[in-house]
Amino acid sequence: MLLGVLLSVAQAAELGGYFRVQARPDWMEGDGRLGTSSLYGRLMNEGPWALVDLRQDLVKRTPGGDDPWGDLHLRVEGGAIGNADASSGNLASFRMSQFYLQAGNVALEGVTWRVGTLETTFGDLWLYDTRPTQMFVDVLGAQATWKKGKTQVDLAVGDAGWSTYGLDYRSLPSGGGAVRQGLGEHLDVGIGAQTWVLGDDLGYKIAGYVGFGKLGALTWDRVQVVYKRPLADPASPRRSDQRAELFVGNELELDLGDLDVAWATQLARTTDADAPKTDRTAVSTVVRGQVEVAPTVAVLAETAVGRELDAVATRDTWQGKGGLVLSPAGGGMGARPALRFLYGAQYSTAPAAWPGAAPREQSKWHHLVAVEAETWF
Amino acid sequence: MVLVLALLGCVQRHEPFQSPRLRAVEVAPVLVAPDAAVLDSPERVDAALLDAMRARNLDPRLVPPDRYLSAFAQKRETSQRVAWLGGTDPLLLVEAQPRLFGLVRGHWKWVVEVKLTLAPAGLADALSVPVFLANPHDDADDALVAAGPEIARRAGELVDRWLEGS
Repeated sequence: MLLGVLLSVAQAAELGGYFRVQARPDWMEGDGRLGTSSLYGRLMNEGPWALVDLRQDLVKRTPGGDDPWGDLHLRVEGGAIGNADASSGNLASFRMSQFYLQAGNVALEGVTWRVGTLETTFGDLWLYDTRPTQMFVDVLGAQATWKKGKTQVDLAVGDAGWSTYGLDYRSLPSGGGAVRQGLGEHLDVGIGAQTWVLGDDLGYKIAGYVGFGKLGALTWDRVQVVYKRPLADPASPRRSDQRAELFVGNELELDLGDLDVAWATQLARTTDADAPKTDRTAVSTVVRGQVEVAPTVAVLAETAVGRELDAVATRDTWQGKGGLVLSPAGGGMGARPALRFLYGAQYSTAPAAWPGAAPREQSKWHHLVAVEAETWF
Repeated sequence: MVLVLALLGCVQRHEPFQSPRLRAVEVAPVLVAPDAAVLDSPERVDAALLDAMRARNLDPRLVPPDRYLSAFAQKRETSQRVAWLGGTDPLLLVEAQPRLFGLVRGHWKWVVEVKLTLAPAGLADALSVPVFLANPHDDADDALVAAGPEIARRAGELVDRWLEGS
């Protein structure tokens, strides 16, 4: 009966989503990921993920009209797929990460109101699968978005208490906004801020964005800078009120005919004057090239190098990956679905630098083969 | 990998139907923006459509947009638009309307609703093409460019039906 209800809802609504799954037999006793983080690129360093986003018209919008409209979004996502993880697809690994209702052209023309879970972003750095400028995803509240031409303004306010404290819930008011302005066809700038207020303490995050491109082979370049002063966490010695986080990242995409190139670089630095032993710096760069050898077949190669420094050690890591990509939707690095057949190698100055490595493992090299599938829909 | 590459040559692809003689076809692509403005379609989409026609031994000609865009703002029905453009040569009318679905894992999902009409043959097709754009500035124009190859492929199949039946 539940299935029947879900099917009828799904048929009435519009679905979107994202899936990735991979088989990476690991003969070096790891858990199937090449390295410990996507600092060396998301490719072969991530596990499975499934996401379904459902959109339901509540008051159907008329194209171009100023009539009021409303819709509902519901998103369920998680990192478990049958035979692909330790839980083998246990649905307990999934959560309803977003639920919100939107209303447009109500009270203020051209404004979209959103109530429920919130979100703004200036886009991601997809080679790392990271979204440093994403804001308000921890907030349940209200958001107003005004968009006209190349200008977009977002204002948001709500409570981040549940996402921050969970069972120890206490109210954590949070709010802020973001402004993005396109300057012609080739330049886009944006700035945003989010604050959290807990008693007399104020935490904040400031995000800046510069995008430019559509110039010859340069499709687009995204520069993202984020500075964050999170609230102190009395329960954690790693979170004093002196903690600061800086992220500087850049990603560019080149279209060279049959060859697509993406190049990303990041610097992430965390400091805490009250706990200097927790200071950490990570820097890396990732380059991926993908060349079409047939209309639905491409050869992919990626290399990454990174350095991680903390009070205890410095670790340098290199990764190289390559293989074949089958894409029924045609060529291009962004074409999905993509079926990948890959080999990857990692060398790290630290031994056993991959997830699940055996305690006795001393090798600085890690090798993996992978069969992967990834798609948006 | 060598084996896989070797097997690629064995894949049987759908071959475009060839017109027995070079025939003129008029092509009129229209972008209907989310604010209902009727706009010229991006050049890359035009080029993909023209390539699909040429691959079938047709001689495609773009109808100059200034000939119909302002009229199409008033004439919203496909039949009205076909009648307005009606000429002596076969006409392929492509009406594309992108709309934003939402933000999904850092990408903006757009759905491009497309209506293909081939007159006077009386053939038509409709499709929804989901596309995922990475940049916050990407708009309906970019969504249509991303959907362009699929639109051109389906337009080609529509023309194949016409050529096979004529």
